[in-house]
Amino acid sequence: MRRRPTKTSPVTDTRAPDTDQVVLSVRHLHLETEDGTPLVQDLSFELARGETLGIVGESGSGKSLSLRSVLGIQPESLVLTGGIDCAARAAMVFQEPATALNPTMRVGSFVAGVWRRHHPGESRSAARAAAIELFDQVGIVDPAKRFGAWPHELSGGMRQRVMIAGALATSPEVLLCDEPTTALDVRVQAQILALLHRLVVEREMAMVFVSHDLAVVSSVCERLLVMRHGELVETGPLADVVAAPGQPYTRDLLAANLARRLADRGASPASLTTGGVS
Amino acid sequence: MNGRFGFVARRFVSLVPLTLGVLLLTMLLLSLAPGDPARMVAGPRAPQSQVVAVAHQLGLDQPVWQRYLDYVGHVVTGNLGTSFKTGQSVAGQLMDQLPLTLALAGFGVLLALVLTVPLAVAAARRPDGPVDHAVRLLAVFGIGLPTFWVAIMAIRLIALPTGWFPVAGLGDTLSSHVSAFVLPSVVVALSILAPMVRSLRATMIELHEAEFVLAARTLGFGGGSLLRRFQIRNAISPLVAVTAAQAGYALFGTVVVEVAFTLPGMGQGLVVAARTQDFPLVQGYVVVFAALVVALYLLADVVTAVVDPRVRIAA
Amino acid sequence: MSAPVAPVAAARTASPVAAEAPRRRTRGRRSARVKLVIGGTIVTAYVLAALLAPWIAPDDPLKQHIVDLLHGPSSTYLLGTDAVGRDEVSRLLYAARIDLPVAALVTVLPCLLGTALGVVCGYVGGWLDAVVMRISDLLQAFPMYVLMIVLVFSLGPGLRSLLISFTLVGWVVYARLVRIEVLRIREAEYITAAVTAGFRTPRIIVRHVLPNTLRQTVIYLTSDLVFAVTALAAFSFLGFGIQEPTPEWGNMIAGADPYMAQHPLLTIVPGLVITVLALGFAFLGDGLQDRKEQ
Repeated sequence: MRRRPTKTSPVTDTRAPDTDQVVLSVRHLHLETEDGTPLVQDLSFELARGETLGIVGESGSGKSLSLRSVLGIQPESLVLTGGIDCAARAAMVFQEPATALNPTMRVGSFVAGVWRRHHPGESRSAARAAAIELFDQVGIVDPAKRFGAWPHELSGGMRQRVMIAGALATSPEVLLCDEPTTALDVRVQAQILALLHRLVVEREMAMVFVSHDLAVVSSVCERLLVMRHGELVETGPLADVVAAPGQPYTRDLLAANLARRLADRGASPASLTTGGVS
Repeated sequence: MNGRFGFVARRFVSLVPLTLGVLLLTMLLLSLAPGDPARMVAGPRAPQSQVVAVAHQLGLDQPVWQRYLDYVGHVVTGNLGTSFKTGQSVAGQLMDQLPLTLALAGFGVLLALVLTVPLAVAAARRPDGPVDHAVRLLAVFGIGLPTFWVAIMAIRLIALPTGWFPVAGLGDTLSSHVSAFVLPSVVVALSILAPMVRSLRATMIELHEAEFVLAARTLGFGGGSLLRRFQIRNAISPLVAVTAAQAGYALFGTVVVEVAFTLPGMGQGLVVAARTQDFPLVQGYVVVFAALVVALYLLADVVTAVVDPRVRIAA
Repeated sequence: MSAPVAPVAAARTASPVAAEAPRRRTRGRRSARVKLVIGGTIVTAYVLAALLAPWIAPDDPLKQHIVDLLHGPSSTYLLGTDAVGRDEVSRLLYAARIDLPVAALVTVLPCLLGTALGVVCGYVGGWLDAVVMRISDLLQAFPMYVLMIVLVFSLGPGLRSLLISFTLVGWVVYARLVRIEVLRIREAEYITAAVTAGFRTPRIIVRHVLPNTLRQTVIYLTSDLVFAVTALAAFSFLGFGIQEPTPEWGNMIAGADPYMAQHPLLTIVPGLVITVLALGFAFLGDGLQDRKEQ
């Protein structure tokens, strides 16, 4: 219904195709510390239903902070100005599942608990069944047995699957992923990315995927947003930005990622391609 | 449950070498004491032959390792020797005094816990806020206050003027017993309070900003349920650890507090025994104190194992 | 068995994003400085008082004015006299000359011993390391003060036994700190040794280890000083420490205890003096700790 604003960078024309409902709208987001140091400056973007947006940047670019601001979990001491409208239910998948899961809570109880909060009035056994079903959907083998596991008993990849199951338990329309694969090793990364892509397509969710790794982002996202020092550098459809980057910084970023991908390709059998999922 | 039970069992087993080491250390340290125990028992005017006989009777002419083994054997059977001064059984005297000291330390720890939780939670709710600064200041004060002085001040400023609490001793009646415990317990509690408040406050703050709390919040857990299930369960483990450490200090606190309030507990007993150079008595006290501390840590480990599922891995 | 096991993961709950947002940094810095200033001022004042005591004390601390027993505050005796007619203020001042150096000594000695042991254990390793660590576990299991009472009992009251008992008990924490750092450096050395043709002398380890551990060591020192000041007084109060007639804040309180009703100041003031000094060290330690976390 609404066109995306074209004012994102002076050079790149970012006219995007019309799609229906905007589910997430960030307008002139500004985050600064108490003594005035800006961490995110004038960030604006929109997300339509079913769209996948990747946000890339180096560490310190403010990408994670921006994502957390959407859900209101940025550090409390930061001053936030600007507008954030999230018209649909959003759930976040965190970077480090070891710290994002409560260590003193069984993973099944956790997911069941989430599910119950979003399905009020349902019984505990219904929640348990739903949790086991979700475990299955995120690719956890033997889901019933895993229900009673403690987080520290699971591998990194499994923990992240639990995290995703928890997010799914809220029946979200928007999935916010904050570097969900960064803490995992390469082979597991590919599995989780494939999982996320499948879920997004199956459930018609919109997704924002934050990462410093362009290759990872490009395997699951259609649109790209590049950030640097808290500012938006460039944004547009993935293929366009990658093929013809408008900004010198974007060019450098691509070059650096390409070099790394080539190095990685030598080391891992998983092939990482741009656009689409391997 | 198997993992946790195994952890506790392992801890229990590791107590054995520790206890043996404690006994050995005690014996070695006390052997440094000047003076001849045999002479002390026999009396200053006894002839040398009698001293030798006494020495033989006490087993003092045995080699060190033999004496050690004998001692361990005695301890295990509950025989801690007899006092030089009174000739009474050491174990008997200790058993008489143990309940008082345990009660004093116990009440002190309980009171400290009761005070710690609200103070730390209030301080952690708004870090760097006025409540937080006040609590932290109080904590620093608490660390600096000498326990024996606080005890004396309590007597001077509370017991003496008001007459509500006995100034010394336990008194005769049940009610005087009870009121005799109040001030000393408070003093003991105050002496161990500060580090507990600091620790719990730090834990709560850390938990407030913890990733899994944030994650849970985004997934819909809010308010009271969040506090209960997520933060408290994770706060218990460090709290148990610091409480156990402080409980150990509480045992020392009872030494000075009992002296100040003239309570017939182990603390005062130890001081008197040390002053009168009563060798076996001092040795007995040390063993019992050490045993108490060891038991305390074991208890703390058990509680931690029950509450925190991660403990299995750490063992 | 050392202190109960704290959950391993408890330390890793911090959000990865937290590093990006420099939170409360300026406020922390200011409060650290305030604490350091307060602590430093207090300690300096005490040190000065101790050094200048012979000149600023109004009277001889050992001189007994038999006619003026248990006087209240007056123009001649600012805080009055004690049970045998000695001027309280002078005794307080002169007691600083005992308490301060002794507290410093009983704090520094374990630090030196512990650091040395830590370096040796970390560097040599093997059975020496294992034995020393076992002993340290054992010592930690003892209620520290009971151990000290035993030592004082065995060795007789007075300064020497205090020194020995503090040292015997206090070295553990320094040894552990230094030992871990040595092990860490050793590991790094193995890596660089390949590059820099084996310069792995103990000298290098010491030169890296000590500066790295210095900050934490000083923080431990300040908290040990707090303990030393109060424990010293406690021991003297119990009769195991500094003996009469040498003035020491703890034994002054003990001496004044029976006369609490008649002359309360005699028990109140020395305790305050102890507390304030301990607070001074505590503030210093806190300020340093805050600074370290910046």
